[in-house]
Amino acid sequence: MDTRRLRSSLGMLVFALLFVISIFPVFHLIAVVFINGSSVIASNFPGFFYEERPLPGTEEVGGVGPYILGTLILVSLATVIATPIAIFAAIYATQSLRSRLGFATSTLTRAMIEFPTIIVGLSVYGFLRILDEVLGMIGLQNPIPRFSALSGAIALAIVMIPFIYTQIEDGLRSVPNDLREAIYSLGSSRIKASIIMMRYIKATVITALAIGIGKALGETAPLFFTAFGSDLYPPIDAGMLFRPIGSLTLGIYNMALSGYDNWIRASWGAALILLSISITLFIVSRILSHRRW
Amino acid sequence: MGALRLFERSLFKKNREYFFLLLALANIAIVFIVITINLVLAGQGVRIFIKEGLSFITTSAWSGVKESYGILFALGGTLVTGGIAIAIAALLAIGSAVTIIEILPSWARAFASTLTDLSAAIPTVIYGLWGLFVLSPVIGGLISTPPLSLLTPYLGSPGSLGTSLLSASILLSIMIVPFSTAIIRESLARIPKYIDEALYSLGLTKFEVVMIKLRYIRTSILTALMISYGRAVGETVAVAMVIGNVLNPDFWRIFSPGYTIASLIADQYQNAEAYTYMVPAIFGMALILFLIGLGINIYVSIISRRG
Repeated sequence: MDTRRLRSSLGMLVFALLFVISIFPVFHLIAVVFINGSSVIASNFPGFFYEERPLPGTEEVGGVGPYILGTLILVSLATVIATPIAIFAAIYATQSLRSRLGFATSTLTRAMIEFPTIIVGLSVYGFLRILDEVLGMIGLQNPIPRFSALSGAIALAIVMIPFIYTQIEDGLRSVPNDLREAIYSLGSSRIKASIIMMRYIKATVITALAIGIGKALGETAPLFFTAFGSDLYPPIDAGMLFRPIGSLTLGIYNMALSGYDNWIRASWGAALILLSISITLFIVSRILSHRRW
Repeated sequence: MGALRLFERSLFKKNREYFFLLLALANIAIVFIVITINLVLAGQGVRIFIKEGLSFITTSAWSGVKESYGILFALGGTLVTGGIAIAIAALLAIGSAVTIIEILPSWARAFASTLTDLSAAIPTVIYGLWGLFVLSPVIGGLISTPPLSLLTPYLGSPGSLGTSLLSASILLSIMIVPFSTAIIRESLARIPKYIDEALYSLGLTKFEVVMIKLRYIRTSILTALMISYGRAVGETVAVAMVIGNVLNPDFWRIFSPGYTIASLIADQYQNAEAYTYMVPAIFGMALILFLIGLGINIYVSIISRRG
């Protein structure tokens, strides 16, 4: 075997090794979360899903009920805000030909994806503070408190919008031209045509929602200065959306850094719940994105 | 009569278009959001520069009680961790991309790309949890035993659980490798087949062909790394969990704990409003993060247009 061949095999071996090194951590992470998390959840089953955080430094793992509820409220509210904006904007951008506004949204949403999410949360916080001052000057009260479920949901919605938007825009642009021409040749208005095309790309729409919800579910940073976090069940009343609220991600972050053994164990259980939902949504989006019906 | 009907019909048609134009409100909302983010960051962030002047970014101090803020230590921590992360990620991503395109069979390629997307779908706080309790104790152990511990006088020593700037860098590199790999992989796959054939017909070995192809796509590799650097700089939670959160003016001592801009923001969220100038200081840092990201995006669009 001459040296060039040997060098080639060695070089390719190095590339393969680098590949193995780079995928190993993800497998390890998933395995560790499943092993640690399942033993924690099993030690207080099914209470782990609905109880509150235990007293620190005890033997109990308690539960993460308030965090699960908070995540559900925040993510559903954010989805309700983000979905219509993203869908309508994508329809307008693709069906209004040569519109400057359409081009602007298309460009800006692609830039928004790269915004660090901590900046999104801070901006919502800053905007609401300014609103506080401005409305205060004319004797009105800001309807959205800066530390509240509502402001957290707004921040999450801003994180979601570009993900949903780009998926649906790509889907609408991929509608075959002859179909598009056929729809318009029937004399349909652009609204009617858009509804028909949305029905055609149904699978893409669901994929977009799964990706957007998965993103919002796993976000921590945009919630710091908005939802703020809370470790107890909120009183279920009309004011619920106007008070700080917890989330699974904030719960994991704060408990993991608390230094208390039983809280750290609870954070592994919470991580398993969060990871399971994320992976499920990922699989849903994967299956649907390869499917048309 | 006929004219009236024509008028009616055109009015009706117009009305339907008005309905469509209402959708533009959503686009206006998106433009409004982006402009508002810019204005809020600039407007609020500028206040700390008025108070502290340039010393906001040239000194290392962070005290709410004394109302003195200088973020050099966090800025330095951000650049150092991002730099180390990108150096590691460059090696891993190039290796992975070559392996996926040149070595793996085609069915395994689809699997590898799914895996890449899956790693991007894992919440960053879970990377942080794993980083804190699994990764950084390992790294802490490595840098506290010889031969690496001999560098302690120069590079410092880790905090509890092995938290350090180095742990944060390595965790960051793990998190950004998927993005870089995806971009490099796609441009490697786009190289036309006839170039491969021409290179092999010269009698070159596989490794030599791969190295030439990598040189051929060097602009894409640079783009991939710059975009990943942008992500590393903005990553908040995972870094905040493993970096140790210590004011470390010697941010080049990578074995010791420190801060990045984003992790300092995360670490201060619960007490920021207790001090007069801490909120403006936090917005000043967010503004700097934003400008770094903007700079990277402009640079990327320039080099990719030239390439």
